[in-house]
Amino acid sequence: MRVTESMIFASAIAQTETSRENLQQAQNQVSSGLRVVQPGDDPAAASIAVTDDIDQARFTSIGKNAQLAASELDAADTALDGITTNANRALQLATQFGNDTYNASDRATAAVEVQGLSQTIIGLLNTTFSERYIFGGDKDNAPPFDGNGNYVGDPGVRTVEVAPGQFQAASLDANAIVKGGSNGVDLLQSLSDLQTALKNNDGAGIRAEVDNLTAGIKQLAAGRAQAGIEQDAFQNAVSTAQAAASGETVQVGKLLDADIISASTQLASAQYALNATLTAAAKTFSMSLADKLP
Amino acid sequence: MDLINVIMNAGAGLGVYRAQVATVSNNIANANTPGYSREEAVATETSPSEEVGTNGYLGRGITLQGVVQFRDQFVESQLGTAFSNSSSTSAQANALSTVTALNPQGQGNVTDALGQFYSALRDLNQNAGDQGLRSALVNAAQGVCTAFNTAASALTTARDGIDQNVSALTVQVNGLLSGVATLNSQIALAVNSGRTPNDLLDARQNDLDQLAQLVGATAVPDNHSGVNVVLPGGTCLVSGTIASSVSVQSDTTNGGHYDVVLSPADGSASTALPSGQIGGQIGGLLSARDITLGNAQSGLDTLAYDFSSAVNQQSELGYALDGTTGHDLFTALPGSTGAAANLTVDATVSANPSLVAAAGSAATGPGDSTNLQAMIATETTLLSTGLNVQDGMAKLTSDFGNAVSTAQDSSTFDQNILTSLTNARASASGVSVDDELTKLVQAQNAYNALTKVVTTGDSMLTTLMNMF
Repeated sequence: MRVTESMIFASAIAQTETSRENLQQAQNQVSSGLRVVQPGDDPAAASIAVTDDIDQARFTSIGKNAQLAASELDAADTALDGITTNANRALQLATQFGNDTYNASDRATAAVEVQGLSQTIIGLLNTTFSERYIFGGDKDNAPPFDGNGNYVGDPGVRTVEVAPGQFQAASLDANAIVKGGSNGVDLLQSLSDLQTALKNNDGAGIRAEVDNLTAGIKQLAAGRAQAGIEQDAFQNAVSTAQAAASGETVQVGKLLDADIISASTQLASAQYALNATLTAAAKTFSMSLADKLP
Repeated sequence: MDLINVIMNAGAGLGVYRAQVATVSNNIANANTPGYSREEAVATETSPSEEVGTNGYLGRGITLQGVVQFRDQFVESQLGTAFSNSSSTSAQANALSTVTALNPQGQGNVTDALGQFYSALRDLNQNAGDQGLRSALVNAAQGVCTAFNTAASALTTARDGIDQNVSALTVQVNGLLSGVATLNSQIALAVNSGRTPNDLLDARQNDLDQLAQLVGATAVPDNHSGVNVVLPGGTCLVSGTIASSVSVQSDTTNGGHYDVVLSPADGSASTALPSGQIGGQIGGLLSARDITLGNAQSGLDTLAYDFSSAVNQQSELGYALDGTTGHDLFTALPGSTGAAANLTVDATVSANPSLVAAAGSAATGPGDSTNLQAMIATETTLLSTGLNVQDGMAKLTSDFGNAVSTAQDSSTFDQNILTSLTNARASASGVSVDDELTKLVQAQNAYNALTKVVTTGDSMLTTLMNMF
């Protein structure tokens, strides 16, 4: 093939441009740490990264909210623990002052303590978490129990996502646990009745509340067990969601990020290629018959 | 042959070699001139020879036959298409590779905003009555709107930029069309007067090359020395010495983007050229604008419309903190056209986040998040495209990425073909300075030798004259 000067110059320009473009791409990868910036760099990777990014946000959010739900259930369990302690004290008083060896004055003193226990329990039932009354059902913006122990919340049970599209109960029905629902024992009513019996020096009435309080404490235990089960479910959800989110982050990194060793090697290779191209061009330019003729 | 003829033949030879040196000089001077084809002063032996004696012939020297150009018609016939294809795919690749609207990573892009929006819904589901979380959801919804608005704006800006580019290029096209028509006229005049206008042929070929690059036009030789210039779709731009002109005109059916309009030289009505009939750089730009970017824009609009409609449809079923219902989260849009650019959060909800319809009933308390959970489920709702919003966004990214990647690959492929053909042209028609210097030395030597012949002949003639 006949080779002309314009071919040599055009070839030198094209090869230098290509080498410089490769060098710039390698430099960009090393400096930005990204292999895929624009979808055209790797359409498949860019597309998968989009779904992975949204998945990552989803799992992060599920994990965060599951953790909040677990913390809230922990607060509920702590409250139920306190209520159980107070109820046990009331049961102890009922058992103790049910004995007719105590006189009216002793029982009146005990009645005052029971009243205090009752108020403490109501206070615990009006526990808030993140400024929300956790035993209020859907009516969580106001105390669910009034001063007399009447339930003014609703039976709504909040559910929180544990996996995409899967919701798990994240609150307890206090009306059922404390007030007994339709066929259980009303613990607060039992405390009120105990207080009345103590005030009235009514030994039979006091003894009658022992069974009710025992049943109420069992209801509390069942409630705590339920809280524990739900808490476990959310703790598992937290672990699973965090692992999934982390996996998606890693996957996005693998898809879009530049491998620093590979990118550095490419940069060095591109530098050598450009140097070689420039050297070759310079050598070719210097070879002309014009330089040889006298 | 007498001595006088010897000297005259040598003198004629000197003229031929002087022409060859002049041609070499012209070639070297134009070695880098675009469109220039190397020339050669072709010499031939002067005939008839002079018969002497019996069966003896004496040559009569050398005659300049003409100055010819070197063109490989096989290569030339392929170059127009190669110029057109390379310019088209290169223009597409360059235009598309700068568009960042659908980049997969980056805070505030649509992907990120959608993730944030559904996260905000989940956060609010955890505590539906919380005003701070409600505000956060409204902000996240606003983030989705801003992301769609920004992406749509970037695509519109890219398409508008192409319009400006096309408009500027049509000015160049008109200059070249007019130039070809004028050169057709000048070449015909020269040819009819018996000359070979190499310089004019070079200039015309250069214009034709540029027209192939700009609009993919091909040259169709007429029966004489002229060429007609025709677009890929068959529309004639130059007929002999008459040039039509092109311009741009806003097309209301295509978002006000420019059509390329042909105004025939005979004054007949202008017509918009279908973009499929235009090749080269302008064709590539129109393809990038209307096909790749157009599809991306309509895809983004469809996604924005479907997504906001799905969320609104569910939102309308829920109840706000004040017990009212029928609230949209996003401003309802009349249709998908322009949806991405016009997506906004409903003004009343934006001003009062307690109107976010989280509850499933008016009778329940602020903790009711039943409807929020249904709104979260819109994440997996299949939209009009048969895909959910996440997969829809991924497909949009993938489709755009594939189009950019294909344009880049095609550009490289077409550029390689063009390089191969331009090398073939340069090999056949380009100037090699080494070749020319060799020819220069060759002509110089011959010239020097002929001057010796002249002086020798002159000396012999003088000797002869001194005999008397």
